[in-house]
Amino acid sequence: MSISISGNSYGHGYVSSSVNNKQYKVAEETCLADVIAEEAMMTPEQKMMYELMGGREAHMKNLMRSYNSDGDYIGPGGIIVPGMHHGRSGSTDRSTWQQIISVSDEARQKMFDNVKREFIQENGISNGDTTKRSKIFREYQLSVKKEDRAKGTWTLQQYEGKYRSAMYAAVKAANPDWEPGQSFDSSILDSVTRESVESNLVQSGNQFVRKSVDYSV
Amino acid sequence: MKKVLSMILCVSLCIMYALPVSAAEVMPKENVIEKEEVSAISGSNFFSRTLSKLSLINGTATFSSGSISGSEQFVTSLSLSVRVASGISPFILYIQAPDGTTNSVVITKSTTINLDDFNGCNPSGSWKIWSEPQGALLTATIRVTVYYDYSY
Repeated sequence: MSISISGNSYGHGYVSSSVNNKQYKVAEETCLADVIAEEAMMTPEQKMMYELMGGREAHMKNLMRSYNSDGDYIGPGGIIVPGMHHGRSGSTDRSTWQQIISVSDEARQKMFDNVKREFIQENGISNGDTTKRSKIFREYQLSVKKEDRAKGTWTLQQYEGKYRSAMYAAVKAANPDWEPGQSFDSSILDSVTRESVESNLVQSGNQFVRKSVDYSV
Repeated sequence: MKKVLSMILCVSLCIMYALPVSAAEVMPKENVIEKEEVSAISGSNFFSRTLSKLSLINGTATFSSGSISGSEQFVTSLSLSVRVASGISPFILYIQAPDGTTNSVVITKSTTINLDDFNGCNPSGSWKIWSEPQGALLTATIRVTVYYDYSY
């Protein structure tokens, strides 16, 4: 059985849908019980407004917009990259995705370049107001298969922290009195390359740790 | 007096020559490569934001971590304090970390929830919150507190 839903509720355009498609099935599985419960709690006035706006069909259609054709929840406007939603709190063991996997040189280099640019721009401070790290992660996630996105993001994040730490250590070594927020000669970071940082990392569980730091006295 | 001083000097020299000397000690200092773990400075901190109705754009509220401490940071807990009118319909609240990691909770009444689903994530950047059904956030006041550890 299929139904066609037409109309223009919630100010969105015309959408024709089938109850047999994945979007509807997942939306139904996830939300229909809540929708029915919600309807049951409505006052007669609320129910009237609800029906005027298209009722359950319109409501379900609105919910379906948050799912892609594979049935993945993607949130309003596709805010979630499929594979990055871990469901209801506590339903997914973090160890299933907080794992180290192989991440391409290209993705790691993009992250390194971003960390370096922001480290110089913000004088070593992690500034959540200006950072472009979300964009780097999203680009990476869209470049790999769904199954690798969460693990790869975790891995890339481990690299990111180590790149930043290496830059902090380099500036601090050149100027022991330096504190984040104070300007520094950015040429100090010329010697800090992605390769030099990574060559000094070893995997320990689901993280990277520094082997050691070599220096001449 | 000179004899006493000479004796002490002789004994000292004899002792010095008798002591074992490692290879490292006789090498010129500038050639010595030492290995040592960098001593890390670490600590804990948090940031907290109250989301007003005005912070909603297209049904999604965004808040920034602002500047955060450390060169490496990871979330240790996230606390959600949600205030809603009594008798409100249940809704699902979605929270997204700056790296895109997303989790959700079902809200049925005013409550405070501690989540560990984001533990380990770097908190720096923009966080997002929205609800399903969309629009439910308009009737709620939410305070988010993100606790994190950091190190240099």
